[in-house]
Amino acid sequence: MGQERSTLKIALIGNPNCGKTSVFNRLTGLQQKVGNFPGVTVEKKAGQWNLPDGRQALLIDFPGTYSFYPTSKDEKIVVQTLANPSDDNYPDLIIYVADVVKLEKHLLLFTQIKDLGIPSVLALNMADVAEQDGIEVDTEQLAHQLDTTVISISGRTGFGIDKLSDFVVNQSANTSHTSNSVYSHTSEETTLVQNLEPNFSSFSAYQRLLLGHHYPWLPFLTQSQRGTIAKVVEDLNFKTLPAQVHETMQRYDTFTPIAQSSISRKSSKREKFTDRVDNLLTHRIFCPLLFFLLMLLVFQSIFTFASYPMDGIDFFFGYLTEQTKAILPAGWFSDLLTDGLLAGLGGVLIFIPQIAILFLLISILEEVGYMARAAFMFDRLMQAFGLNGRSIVALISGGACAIPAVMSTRTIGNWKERLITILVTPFISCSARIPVYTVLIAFAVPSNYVFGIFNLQGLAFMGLYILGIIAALGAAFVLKIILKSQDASFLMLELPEYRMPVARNVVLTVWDKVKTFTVEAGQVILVISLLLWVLSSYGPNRAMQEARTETQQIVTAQGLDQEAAADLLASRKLEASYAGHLGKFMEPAITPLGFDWKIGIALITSFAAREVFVGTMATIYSIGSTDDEFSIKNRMSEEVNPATGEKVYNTATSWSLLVFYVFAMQCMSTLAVVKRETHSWKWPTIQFFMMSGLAYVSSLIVYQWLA
Amino acid sequence: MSTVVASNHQNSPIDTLRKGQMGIISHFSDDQMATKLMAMGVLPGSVVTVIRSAPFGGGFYVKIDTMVIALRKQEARCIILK
Repeated sequence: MGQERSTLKIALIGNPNCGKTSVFNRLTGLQQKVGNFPGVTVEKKAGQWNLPDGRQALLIDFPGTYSFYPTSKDEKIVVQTLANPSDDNYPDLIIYVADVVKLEKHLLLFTQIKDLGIPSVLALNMADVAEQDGIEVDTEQLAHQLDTTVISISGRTGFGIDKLSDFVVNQSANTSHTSNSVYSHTSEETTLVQNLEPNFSSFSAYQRLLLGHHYPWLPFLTQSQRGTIAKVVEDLNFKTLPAQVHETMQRYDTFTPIAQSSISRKSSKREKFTDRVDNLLTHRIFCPLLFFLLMLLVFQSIFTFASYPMDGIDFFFGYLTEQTKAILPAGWFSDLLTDGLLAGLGGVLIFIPQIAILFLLISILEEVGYMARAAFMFDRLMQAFGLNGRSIVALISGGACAIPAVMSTRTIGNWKERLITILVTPFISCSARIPVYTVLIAFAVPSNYVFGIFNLQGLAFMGLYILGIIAALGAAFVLKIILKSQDASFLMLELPEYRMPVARNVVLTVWDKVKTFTVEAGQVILVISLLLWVLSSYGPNRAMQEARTETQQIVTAQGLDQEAAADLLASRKLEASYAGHLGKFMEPAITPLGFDWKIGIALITSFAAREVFVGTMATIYSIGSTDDEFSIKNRMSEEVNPATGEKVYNTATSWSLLVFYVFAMQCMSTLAVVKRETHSWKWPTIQFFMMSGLAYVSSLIVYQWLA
Repeated sequence: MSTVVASNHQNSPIDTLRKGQMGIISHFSDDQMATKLMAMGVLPGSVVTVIRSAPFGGGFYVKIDTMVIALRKQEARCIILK
């Protein structure tokens, strides 16, 4: 029993596009956990695999990689885990997944894996496709010549999965394993491996060779270990790049004949199908056109279709709040539960429809094989701004909501390009800005027509959107210059063949995204919204007391009805609250922008979400809990500055406020998601100051220029 | 295949191939790109066909043996033909 106490750790490794994810989903189902590899922002998917003998194994899905000579963070993770026997994720067994259709290409990494000295099995995936394509593999001969176990499987249909499970059960009972390598070290490499043995005796020969190649960046080495290796490498004058080329060529020379003699293939129909589809889908004119049509569909879906379930969630929480208020006695507990907790919870769940819809569509496009092509098409254009071809999806979906957009950047391999995409996406005007724009544009621009067809307000609306796009691309360009990156940027993208999407994979992606958002970003959103609730409903005791007595006096003096009295009390209480004090406190800082303390309060409360601006305006001007933009507009237009006697919402202030809302990071949920995606508070903090700083300066310029 | 192997592209990189033209890889002019390309299965001796060059003057979309790969211009430039 002693041996079974520690869970069996199994690594799933393979080239990109080998169908590893399908295998992983098939083996673990819903029992997956998405985390990160220690110290880096590389996604680690681990899942529980229930073996036929009743035991549970931990299956770790490693990023797809082509060889042990990595260039990106994702690929480095594979090397740094497998080259370090004391790593937490060091597996007891490796399942190597290879696409049988591309066996000659996918064996390179397998022969390297096999040399590590970790027990391994070669799983030939896509057995179903191979059969359709008339590909036959002599697995026995392949197993014999490569000196390994070979199992034909299909992650899509489930074929052979039982055999794989049986193998794992038997293998873990009997771990003695020695096998021959297809690669024989050069004399230089042999000496290197020997010289490293005294200091790295727990490492296998090939692991020591990898130390010699990668010691400058391997994070688990101590400074003195690094020095030891550096000395051995320098004494031998061992050059990593030529050695890599030599090793790779040698391996190909050995296993290519083996692979070719074990496989017989007739001409593939699937390949021709892919060629034909590609002719159409990557066409110079047709391709960008189709892409924008697809993106329009994605955009429309997040924008329009999501609004129904969102309204439902909104209604449900409204109902729940009403009922709770009716049942519980009025007081702080009822307020905390409804205005604090329920409001916060609703604020988290409201994003789920948008996230689910975006990832449903994106993962279908990804599964089909379209996304890789779109990334290729826009690579050049996006490169100019330090972005990646795949960034275009985030930027476009950011027009609906930045939260799913930021989450969609996972597929960008290069960390710097991904980070820039995350940082600039919230500049794109999202749907939450629309209510703010609609209310304010009326004050900034007259509703006149130019050339008889263009409504000035409509043009201004469009201008604000364009301003957001310019800010996003401009910021990306600046960040491209500022941010440092050690990783070289490559495209070198293998384009997968077109395939029918697997429903299981699509559903699991959507489930995973929704769960991650709700659990991880949701916590942060809930905490901030509780904090904002405290700020806007509590204040210094005396001030709050005064607000109550004053309201009482006014109500009696003017004989206000119950509703008007409640509205007035809400307005006075907000003014007396900590948020009100904060608004007054920051008034000197925002006066040069043309804002008064009332707008200051709205800036604070709308940090929860931009559209809250409208609701706060309603409360401040004591027109109650109405969301009617028209009545708010009317009331705001009457507002007069008591000091100057001029209208508060004049053209200058309105433009200044509009520009502020285009740029400012007024969305705690986005910050929470950015924190989740970058795994530190550093980047959301930088993002907040970058965006809100730009907003402040721009509003200052706009107001001073117009006023 | 009906496409003819371009014979006037000796020792020139694959970005000189036009759409539909074919060539055989001789070597790579950059070691780092070479390891990466070779790991993907792009080897000396592999047959390259240019399927398309990207819009906006971007990269290349090439078929190498049985797979299709997207390359940036500078990546394509380091693949030298026989």
